[in-house]
Amino acid sequence: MKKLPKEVIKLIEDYFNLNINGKKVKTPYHINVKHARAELRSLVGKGTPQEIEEEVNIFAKLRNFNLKKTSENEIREFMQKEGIGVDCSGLVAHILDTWVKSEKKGNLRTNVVFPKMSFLKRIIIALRPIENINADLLTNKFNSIPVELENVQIGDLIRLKGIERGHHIAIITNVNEKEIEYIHSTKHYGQDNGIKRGKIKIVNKKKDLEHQKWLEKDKDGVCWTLKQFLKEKNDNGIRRPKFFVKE
Amino acid sequence: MTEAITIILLSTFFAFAIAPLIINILYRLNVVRKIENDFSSIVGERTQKEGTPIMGGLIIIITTLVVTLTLNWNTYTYIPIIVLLISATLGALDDLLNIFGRKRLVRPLHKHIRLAMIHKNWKKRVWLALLIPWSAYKNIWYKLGSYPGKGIHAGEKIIVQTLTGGIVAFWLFSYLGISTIWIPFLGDFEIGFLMPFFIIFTIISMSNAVNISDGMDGLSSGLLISSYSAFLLIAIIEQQTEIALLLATIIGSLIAYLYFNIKPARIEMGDIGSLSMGALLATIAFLQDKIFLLPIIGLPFVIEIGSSLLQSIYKSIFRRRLFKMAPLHLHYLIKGWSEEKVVMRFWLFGLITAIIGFWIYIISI
Repeated sequence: MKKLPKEVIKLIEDYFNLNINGKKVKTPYHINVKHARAELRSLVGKGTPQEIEEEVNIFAKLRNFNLKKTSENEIREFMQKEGIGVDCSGLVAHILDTWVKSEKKGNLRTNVVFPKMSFLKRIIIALRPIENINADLLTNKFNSIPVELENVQIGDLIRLKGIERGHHIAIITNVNEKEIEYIHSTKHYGQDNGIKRGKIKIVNKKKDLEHQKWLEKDKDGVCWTLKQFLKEKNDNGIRRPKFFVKE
Repeated sequence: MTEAITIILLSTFFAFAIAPLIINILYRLNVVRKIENDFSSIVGERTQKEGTPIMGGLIIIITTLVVTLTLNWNTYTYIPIIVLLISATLGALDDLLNIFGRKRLVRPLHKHIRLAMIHKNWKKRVWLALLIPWSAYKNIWYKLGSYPGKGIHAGEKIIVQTLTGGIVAFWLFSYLGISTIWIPFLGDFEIGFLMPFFIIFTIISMSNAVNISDGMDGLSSGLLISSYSAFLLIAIIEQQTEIALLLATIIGSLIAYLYFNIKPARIEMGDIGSLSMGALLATIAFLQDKIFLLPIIGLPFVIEIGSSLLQSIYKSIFRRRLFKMAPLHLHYLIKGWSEEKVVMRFWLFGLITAIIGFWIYIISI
């Protein structure tokens, strides 16, 4: 059975427990919808935990926001207001990048197949790989293969949503006979947005994810992740990155 | 030496005398810092600076003009004074536009071209078509990361600064025929036709370097006193009396200005002071043929502009920060140093680099 490398476990823990002035803060969700000009990657949802922590400290100085006197929730609100957080592909890309590096197999960029592009775009990707790897790219047919539920393993990806409003992605971090655990960064679930753990209870291994019991729910009992899965259901599902298949 | 000390004292007293008057006038005219126009005020603590009069550089400019025109007006001083006046005018315009002007946006080039093609008024179409190269030039600066505000845009500033540098270059290269630079221990080094470009580049860089360093109470003026003092000592040793007296005038006015600029500042230099002081420092270094010592004596300014440049390049390429913030003095402020601590440590650093520059000069002559 595949295991998460300890570097990946640490990275995930760091996203769940950002160290902001001695307080542990869960990384909120942020995506660069405005395509802000020349923004730092930590301000477009693609930062590492360390970059996010640094940016919070800088913005707190800039805005006279007292990190000592504020609670974890207030810090999260401040982060969301300032556009500091991580999006789904930023989180998964960093996890996979750390994973590949921990196994000394280059980095994520060298293991991903990009579509045909100009020379300039290639240079940009070489310089800013994480910003140029999105959910669709990681789970398309060039970079991943569909996996049946009965063969799911740690490190597999869940392709969600669709072309219409952009794809969403989650990464599976634990698998046993009864349950699948995944991690993603989501804009849903109200104040609980951002990096989040979710579980899927396996009801029938022979059927696809739609027929399993999704345990992640908001206060009204809605599972947004399942809704996202159902959006373009035929194109969604579990995917295994090809660089994991080569093993 | 005695003359220089006399001029320093005279200039200091004169500047002290006019400073309250200038501060009062600037208050009355509402030429005060407005936070939304000030880049450095993005650091929360600096919002306290709101309402402080800017254009305090007037104290230095007026003192230098009055003392030089009455006591030291000759062929060695008129070019530096012209440089001072052009740079000060540019700075003054920038300061005033930042306070009283309207935000000037940069129209994307493709929109400009489109407008030139479809505008209903044919005269306007011709006018817009003629302005396409200008729009392209402004767009290049925009792409390079210059954020347009109310004041003079970076591209416009560079043109005026090139003109200022061009005047010095013309005077030194074409009029006086100087095409060599002195390098410590090696002597004169011929650079030929590169000399005008080198002069223009240095004057633009130094002018902007001092401008960038003027971001905290007392910072740039303290550093300028160290740098100008090192060049004064060199001028005294080289018996360049006229230049020495000009330097003494500036140092005197800077001392009085610094008195009012120390935290909490009663007045701030503004672009009128910083752009002109930087351009003048470079001009005087060329006049003394000690340009090689400028990056040593003025190392804090070089580091300040260098940190901004590096941060900008690094951010553009990697979308990450190299420093917590640029220029470097803001990096330390964000790091948690108090403003006083940053300023005083920079002063000490400036003093040390000025001493090193002077020491290199002494041992190499």
